[in-house]
Amino acid sequence: MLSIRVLRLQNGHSVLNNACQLALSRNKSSKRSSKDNVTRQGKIFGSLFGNRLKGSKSHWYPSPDAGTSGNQKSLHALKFGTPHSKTTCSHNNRRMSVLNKLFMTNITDILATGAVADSIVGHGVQISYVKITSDFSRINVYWMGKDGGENQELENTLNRMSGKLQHELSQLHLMGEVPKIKFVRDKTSTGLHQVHEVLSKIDLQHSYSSSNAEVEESDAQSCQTAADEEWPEMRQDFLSFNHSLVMDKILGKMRKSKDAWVNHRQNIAKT
Amino acid sequence: MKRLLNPTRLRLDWLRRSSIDVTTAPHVPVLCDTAIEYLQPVPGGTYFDMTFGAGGHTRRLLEKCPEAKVYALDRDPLAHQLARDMSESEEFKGRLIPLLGKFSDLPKLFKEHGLAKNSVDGMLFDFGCSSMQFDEAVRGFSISRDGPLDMRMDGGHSGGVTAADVLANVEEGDLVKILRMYGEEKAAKKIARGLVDARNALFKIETTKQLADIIENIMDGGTRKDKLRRPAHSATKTFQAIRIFVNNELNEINYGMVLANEILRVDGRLVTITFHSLEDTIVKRHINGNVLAGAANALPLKYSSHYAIDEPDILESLTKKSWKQLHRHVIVPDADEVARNTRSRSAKLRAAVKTN
Repeated sequence: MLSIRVLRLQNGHSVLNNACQLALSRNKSSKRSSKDNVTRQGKIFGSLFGNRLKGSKSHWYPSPDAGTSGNQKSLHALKFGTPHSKTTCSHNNRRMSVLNKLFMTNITDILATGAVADSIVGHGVQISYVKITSDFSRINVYWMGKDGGENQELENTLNRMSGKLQHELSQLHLMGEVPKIKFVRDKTSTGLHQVHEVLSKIDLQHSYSSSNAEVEESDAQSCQTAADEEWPEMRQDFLSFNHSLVMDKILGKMRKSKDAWVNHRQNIAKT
Repeated sequence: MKRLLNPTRLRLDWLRRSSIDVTTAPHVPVLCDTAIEYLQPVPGGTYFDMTFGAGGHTRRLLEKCPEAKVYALDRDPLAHQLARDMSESEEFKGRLIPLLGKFSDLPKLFKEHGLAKNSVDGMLFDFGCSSMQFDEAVRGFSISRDGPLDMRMDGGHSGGVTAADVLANVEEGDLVKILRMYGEEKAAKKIARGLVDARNALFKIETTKQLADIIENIMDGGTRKDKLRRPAHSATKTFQAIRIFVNNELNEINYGMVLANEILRVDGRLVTITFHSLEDTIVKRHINGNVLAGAANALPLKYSSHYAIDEPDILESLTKKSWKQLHRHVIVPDADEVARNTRSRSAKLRAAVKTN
C-alpha cells in the first residue's frame, strides 16, 4: 500500500518528494498507524501550500491590508481583549453596562459643573444616555437640545470640547485608557418637539372656537352629564404584564379542549 | 443562634403575660386599632370596608362610632354571608350594608345603591388573602393543607378559571412571566420548565400537595427562611404568583386605588393594609402621585425626567398628587402583635387624606 503511494508521488515535484521522504523517515522511527501517517502528510502538505494553522503566530498581528483607521480600531480591539468578530460575550455586556453608568454619571457632572461647561451654559443641553461601543474604542454621548431644530454651532462646540472632556475623565481613572468621545444628537427629541408644535397649533384652533358662547355652554353641559356617569377604565397591565391577554389564551385553549371532547363524543355516538 | 430564639421568646412572653385571657381572646384583625384610629370615623359618616373578610375591622369601626354607616364589600361569598348575618343582627341593623363583588364591580354597585361620586368619608382596604381563606383546605390557597387546586377568591361565584386550569393550559413563557413578576421568584424559568415537563408527561396537577411536592423536588437547593427566621416552603412564592394571577389581584388593587380617588370626598381618608411588596408598591406609588394614565408607574419617580417636557401645565398635571400621607414612615405591627399573630409579620399600613 505504501509502496503504491510512493510510486505515484515520484512523478511529482522534487519538493514533494523531499516531504514524502521526511514523512516516511518519521514513520519508520515512530511506528504509527497508517491513519496517523495520512494526517501528518496532510498537515505537511497544507503548511507547504500556505494554509496557516489555528495556533499560528501570524494570527495575533493585524493584517497589513487594512487601512489606517481599521488598523487603529483593530489594535484598540486587541488591546481590550475583544475578538475581531462582532459578537460580544456576556462579560463584555456587563462591563459595557457598568461603564455606561459610570460615564453617564461623570460626564453629566463635568458638563454641569466643570470648566468645560462655560461654552454651553444656557443652551439647554441634556444628555439622554451614554453608550460605549462593544469594542471599547469610542463613547457615544447622545444629547438633546432645547429646540427641535438643527443647531450645528452647538454640535461643533460639543465636539470641540470632547478632547478636554476625555482628559477630565482620564483623571478619574475609570478605565485604563478613556476612548474618544463623540457627541451624537438624539433623534427622539425631534419627534417630541414636533408633537409640541402640533399641539400648539391645535390650541390656536381651540382658542378661535371658544369665542362662541352657545357652543361653550353646551359643551359644559355635556361635560357635566358625562362626568356623573363616567368611571375610569380599568387597566390590565400592571408591571407591563397584560393579564387579560394571557387569560384569553388560557380560556381559548380550554374552549378548544372542550370542543374537541364534544366532537369526539359525537363521533362515537354516530358510530 | 441568638436571633433564632427571639420569636420563641416573644411568643413565650406573650403567653406568660396573657395566659388568663387565652381562651376568651376574640379574633383581632391585623393593625385593627391603628387602622380605625387613622380612619377617624365621625357620626353620620359613610365608610367603605372594601375587604370585609371576617369583619373585624368593620365591627371595631361600628363599635367606636355607633352613628356611622358602613358598606362592606367582599368578593368571597362566605365573607358576604358573614356580612349579611352581621347586618341582620340587632346590634348592627341598619348601619351595615353588605355588598358582593370585586373592586372593579364598584361602579355597578354604586349605581344600584344610588350613591354619588365624592360622597364617601373613608375607605379601608385590607389586601391579600384572609386567614379564613388560608385555613380551609378546600379553597386551595394553603401549602400545608391538601385540597383541590382552586385558589379562586370568589369560590367560583363569577366563573373564572381555577389554578389547576391555569397550570394545565398556560404557555411556558407566560408562566415564567407570572412567576417572575407576580411571585418575584428567582428560579422562575426552572419552575416553569418543570411544571410544563410534568404536563407533557401527562401528569395532571389537581391538588395543592401535588404542586407543592413538584416544586419542592425542582428546588432542591435548601429551604428558605421567612421574616421571622422560620423555615419556609420553597413553593411559597409560586403559590403567591398563581393566586395573584387567578384572581387578577394587582390590577384590581390598582383600579381600587383609582376608584378611591373617585369615590372619596375632599378630606376623605384612605387606609390600606398590604401584605407583600407588590401590593405596597402599588399603594405607595398611587399615594405619591407616581401614576401614568390610571396605572401605577413601573419606574420609581426618581428615574422620571422632568426636563423633557417644557410645558408647565403638562408637567404639573403629571406630578400632581391627590393624596397627602398622614404618617412619616410606613406603619408595621409591633413585636407583640407579630408574636400573637405571626401572619401579621409582613403587614404594612398606609393612611392618606384626599386633597383635591
